[in-house]
Amino acid sequence: MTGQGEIRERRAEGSAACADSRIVSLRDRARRLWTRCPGCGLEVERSGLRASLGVCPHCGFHHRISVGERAGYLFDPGSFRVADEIILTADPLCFQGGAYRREAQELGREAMAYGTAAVRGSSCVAALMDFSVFGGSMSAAVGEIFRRACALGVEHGLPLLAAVCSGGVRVQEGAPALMQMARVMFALEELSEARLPFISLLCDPSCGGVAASFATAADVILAEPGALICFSGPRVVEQTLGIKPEPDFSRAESLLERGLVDMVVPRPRQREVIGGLLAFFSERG
Amino acid sequence: MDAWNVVAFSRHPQRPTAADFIELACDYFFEIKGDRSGADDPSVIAGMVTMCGERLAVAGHEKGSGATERKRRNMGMPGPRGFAKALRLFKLAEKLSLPVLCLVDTPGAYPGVEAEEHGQAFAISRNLAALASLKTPVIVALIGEGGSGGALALGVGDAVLMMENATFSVISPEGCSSILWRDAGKAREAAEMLRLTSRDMLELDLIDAVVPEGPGGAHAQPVAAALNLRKSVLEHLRALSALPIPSLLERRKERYRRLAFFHEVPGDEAGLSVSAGRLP
Repeated sequence: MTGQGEIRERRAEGSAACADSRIVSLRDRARRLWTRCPGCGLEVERSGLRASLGVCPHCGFHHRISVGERAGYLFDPGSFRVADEIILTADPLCFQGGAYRREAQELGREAMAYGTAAVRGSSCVAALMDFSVFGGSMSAAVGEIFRRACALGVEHGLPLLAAVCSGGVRVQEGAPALMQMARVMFALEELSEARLPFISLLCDPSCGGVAASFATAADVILAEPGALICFSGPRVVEQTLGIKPEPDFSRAESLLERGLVDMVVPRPRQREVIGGLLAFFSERG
Repeated sequence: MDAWNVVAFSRHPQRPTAADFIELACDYFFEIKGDRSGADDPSVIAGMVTMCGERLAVAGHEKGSGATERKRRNMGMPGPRGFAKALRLFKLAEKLSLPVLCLVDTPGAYPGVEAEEHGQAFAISRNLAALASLKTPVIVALIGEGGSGGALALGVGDAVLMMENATFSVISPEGCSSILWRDAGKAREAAEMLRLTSRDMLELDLIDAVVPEGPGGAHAQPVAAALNLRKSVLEHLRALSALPIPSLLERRKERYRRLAFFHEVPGDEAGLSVSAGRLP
């Protein structure tokens, strides 16, 4: 492997200071190629993980994936037509003297992307959440994106599919972001009035104000294996009560047992399940 | 008075609670109990009242007065059963065409294992959906602490009134400070940044009116504060009751649609385009 050659080459340079940087550089390289699976603790090759839809080949742990990766395995090739407008934060609180706004603008995208898509030939409006943008948190812009996704569904008579991955409401936007919890419910109301179904796919994590608004308001709720789905997370519970919750606390499987979600669906089966539902819904009179 | 002082006022142990307000401002009160599914959550108080001859349905977070009561009422932090009790009242009000008054005063929904096991997030979501489409006027009064989703589950309506020293926030100042600086000690600074006071909320156009409490705050003058709140509630109630239900619902939808704090960068072309390649 090239790593070996690099070690020999650098060894010729000799000094102790160099030894440290060699280790760091090797470590960086290893991190680029391999990642430790939080499910089983084993090292997994990143390229292999991508090929297996982010599911650990050893233990089946579902790693967090990007919006592009999700669209890639879920939708029919080339069918995801992303809405063109770019909706960004207006930083209503002028948080941290504009530092938050600069960070958000540099990212240039929000924690949700939406558009029309097809799953096994059945069309829907898809709203996919992006955990890499402020932990997938719901800003006022995300509220607006979700509202537009609902409106697009009403306009075209299409069902809505939301892939949720969010820590909750965005703290940096305070009460204006909190109000989006209500705002999205009004948008869903219009979808209901048009008698259009709404499917949500809850991924890890689906928490806080996002869990307590549109994510759990769906007609059919699917969840990824092991996904944390809750209003208050285990850390908040521990801080408040001083008791550490069990490891399976508020995980998808325990929600299924308690009748809170309809099905736990591993990634490789999601196309089949969601495609089947959409096909069923499209047969309505 | 800075934001941190307002936070202290909103949490003052002698601050009048929802039950105090009902006692001071209403003539008749019949309290409903329970979720009709196995339990009663005392952190929510709900029932039917008359107020200066007007009939209303009232639901509020109830913190309780005194140490024992506060413990029994769980400091006004509801679990799913508390939210379900409020939902029962909303539905009853709709059936009987009674306007709803929500009294919001909670640090937040209760962060407990059992609450989560019984679907805390689902309960809040259900209440939000119910309030969004409830076919009767809904007046929300923020009377103390307005803590996050647990407050909003009783906090969506046609008019939102806010007591002068009440707060409304997505997170407690302590929580915000520990997230931002990993230090709960900078809560005063965080309180300022969160813009959680009635003045901030009016500036952000999230509320319709601020109800004065008088010098020293509501805990110093509970009767005056309760009567001021009653006056404001009745004013808004009269205006809202005059509206036919369809226009009331349209107006409510529009009220929340207006709460748009975003900035749009126009795309290259209008409508949709094949641009999945742009995804991260």
